[in-house]
Amino acid sequence: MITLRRRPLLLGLAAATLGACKRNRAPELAEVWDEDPALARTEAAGALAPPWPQPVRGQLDDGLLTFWLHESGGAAMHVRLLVPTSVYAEGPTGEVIAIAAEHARHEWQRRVQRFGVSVAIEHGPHRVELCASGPDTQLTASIAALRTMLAQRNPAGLDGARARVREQVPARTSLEVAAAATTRRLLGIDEAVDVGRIDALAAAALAQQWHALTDPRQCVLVIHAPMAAEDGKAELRRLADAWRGPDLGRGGQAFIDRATLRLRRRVEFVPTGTRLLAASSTPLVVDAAGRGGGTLVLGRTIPLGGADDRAMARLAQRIAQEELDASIAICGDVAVFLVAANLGRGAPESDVTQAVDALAAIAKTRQPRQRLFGAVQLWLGARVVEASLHGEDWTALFADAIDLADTDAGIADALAADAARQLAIAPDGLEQWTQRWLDPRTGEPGWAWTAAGVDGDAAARIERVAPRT
Amino acid sequence: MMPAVGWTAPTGPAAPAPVKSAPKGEAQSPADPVPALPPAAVDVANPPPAIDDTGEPTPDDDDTSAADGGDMLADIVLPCGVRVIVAQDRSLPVAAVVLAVETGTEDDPNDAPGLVHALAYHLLQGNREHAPGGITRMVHGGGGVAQLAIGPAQIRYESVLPASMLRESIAAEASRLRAPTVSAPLWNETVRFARRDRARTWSAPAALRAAAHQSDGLRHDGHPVSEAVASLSERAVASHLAERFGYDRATLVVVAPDPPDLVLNLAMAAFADLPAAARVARDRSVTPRRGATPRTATTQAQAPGTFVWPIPGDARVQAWATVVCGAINRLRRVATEPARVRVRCTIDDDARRGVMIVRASGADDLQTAVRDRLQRVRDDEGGSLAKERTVVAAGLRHELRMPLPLARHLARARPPGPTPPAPPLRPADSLRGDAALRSADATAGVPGDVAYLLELGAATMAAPVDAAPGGGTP
Repeated sequence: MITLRRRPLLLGLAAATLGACKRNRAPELAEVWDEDPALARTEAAGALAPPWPQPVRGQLDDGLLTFWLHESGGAAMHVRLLVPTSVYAEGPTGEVIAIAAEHARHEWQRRVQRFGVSVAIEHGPHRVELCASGPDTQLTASIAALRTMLAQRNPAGLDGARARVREQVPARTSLEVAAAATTRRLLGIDEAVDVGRIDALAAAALAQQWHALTDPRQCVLVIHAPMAAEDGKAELRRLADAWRGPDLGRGGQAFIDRATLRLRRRVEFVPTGTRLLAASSTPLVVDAAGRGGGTLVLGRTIPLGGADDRAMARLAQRIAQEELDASIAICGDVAVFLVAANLGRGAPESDVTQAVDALAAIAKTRQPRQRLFGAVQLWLGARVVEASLHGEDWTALFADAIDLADTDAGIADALAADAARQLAIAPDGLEQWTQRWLDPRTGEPGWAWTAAGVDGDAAARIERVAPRT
Repeated sequence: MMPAVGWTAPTGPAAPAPVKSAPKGEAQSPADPVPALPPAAVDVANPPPAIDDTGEPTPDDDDTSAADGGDMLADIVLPCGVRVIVAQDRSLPVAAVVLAVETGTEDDPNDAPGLVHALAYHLLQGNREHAPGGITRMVHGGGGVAQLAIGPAQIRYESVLPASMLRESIAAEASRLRAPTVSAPLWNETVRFARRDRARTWSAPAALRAAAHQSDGLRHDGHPVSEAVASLSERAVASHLAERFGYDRATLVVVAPDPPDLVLNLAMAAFADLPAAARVARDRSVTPRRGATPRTATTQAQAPGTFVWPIPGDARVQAWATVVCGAINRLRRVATEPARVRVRCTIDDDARRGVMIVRASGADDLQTAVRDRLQRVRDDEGGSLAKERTVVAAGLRHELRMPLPLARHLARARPPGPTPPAPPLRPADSLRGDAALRSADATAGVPGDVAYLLELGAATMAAPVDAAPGGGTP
């Protein structure tokens, strides 16, 4: 059974946030004051980061980058393979990614099933993550199974994975359709899975793409275990010996030796240069596809100059999320910000206007200091609590930290540093930032939007306020 | 009257706090993620001698060895009657706080089924310090999760939250049972919430579980809230709450990154203003029945060939029951058995009222078929017990690495007897079922107090309503 299926890029980018952030109505907010929170509370919230030591970083002979997180006395092990999917402009399609990920999960899982180890597919921004979790005594066996799986020269199981993906892909919701279309407009890539295109994939091309995706020169391996890195060297050496990337020839592309760069897309994208419901308005994409009611997704990319910008973008999303269904995916120097809204049958055009107005209102509002602290506290707390409930897997948090770090040396401290930066954000600074980046009417241009799951009548009514493409 | 306790805490906020607990290596390193803990009010690492009923100091059996190394936990009964268990988990800055109250649906009065279930929900409605739903909102506001578990003999208020909120959470749990707000509108809301709750599905019929545990209260579901309960007056609700939900029958379990002695001091401060009270919570475990043949219990359910053994509320025995059950399932049919004979074992897990269920079919004499299997496990045929013990111990160790499962597990600790545990700081393994399975004693086979699980005479057997001799028992 497929535990996690390939979704459109939106879910790949923001799987952890969009669904969890959905709110149908604004929460009741207690009265807050514009004063600084108590220092002790701020310090305590700022300490909500994993207490991991500096990881042991290694680069294997085959080009694979490894990070070994040692936890003395632990009872579990986690092995996470991070596979970037959008590194090249001619990146694999959503169907290829879904089949390759399912093939890897299935092949790895069947080799470690008897050891009580489970393998799951998770999605990060511009990447797929495969994670094996189980008792600490099975670490060597899990790495050995990974080696066997990746060393296959002729991955015969791809056809089986294709069949499973075909069976498991559900009918797409209007939210998924709208989010995928908006993201496609913003980033120029399409990682949505279309059942009709799955069968059209040639077996040889699929195998070739599999080898390209699982090139160790592009991947990153993160291990969290009570075993010391020194004791795991031999198994990693065997992994490097058996798992080699395709021969790129003498002119082959040199691999990147920094995880923070490996996992970030380097495709140039062109901002739309337009706003929403403004003088130079972005044409609305209307799509009838998608089950469920009508859904509007509007969004933009936000260039992030550094760690301070990343912290600001996260806090702004947390504030917006208290009133809207807002999500953000941060990956290095770019963030994708999306807002989803339901479109009713009665007056869809007013729903469209209200969604834009609501976001613009939030962007122009100065938030009290205590509200900022509450939002940061909730975000930082929920992050560690979720990690605890999901098996105390440090590799998942470390993967998040890679997205927040500028250099490999800064990954270990990235979560704590990000927390400190969020707690230090002043209301005035946030207001200026949101006015610039989150106001779809008067802020920086670069917005895109899509309405999906709407019939012809609703589309015509929406067109009264938002011109269509 | 002041109960006889092995440890005394300061009686109020004004109590002197001269002693700081001694640092013990890594546990109190400066890197500990939660600052701003209060100064230790007492030296729990070096407690004064425990006092027994006679006023004489009692020997500290394992104190020295325990304090010298390895993880420790704190286990103490405070003067107000609440038991506090604190363990440490440094993996993430996350804490689990569980308030377990030793009451449950089996305590429902005959004329008010669903009472305890509804009362448990009502304790989410706040008190003088917290608005209705306030404690839950506080946990959610900090990024944590909160939930309620209602069982036949234990009710737990569970929360997992960032360690930065530990102090607030302990204070909230130390306040939850105090003078809960009672009003007609709130009670109506409580009943509405409680009625949405779905009952648990048990493998064994209720009549069998009731007979095995010798508790008539287990015969009813306990989840549906009756009209008699819904129509209770405010005064009656308050009276029932005070009677059934007191700290003298509660256990606060905290698993946090901080050293147990520091967390224990937080808890002691939170409970310090409660008056002294004798602990009411009792061990409900039944003495296993001995004999050659199982007793019978009538049941409406179609359960011929079903045998049930009670599992007491004790993590160690529960772990052993899982081992025994697994060992039974490891056995293969022998040549002398008919080909259609099937014997399978399952566990209805519960903190206090769990049962081991063996179902046999395909044999002319089901009792003999089960008796033979039990004998083969006693004989440790094929080393099945040892294999299963290893598997169960490893599984438990893996599961208990996280704060919430560990806190739930510790809440299963057998209620202390008249003499509470002493000293308060003990090896962390002392209350863990997996540690019991890994101990040197475990290699010798099933311990004496668990051996009844391999005796057919200790079981209760299902009988159809019209087949039980004398109408069944009890």
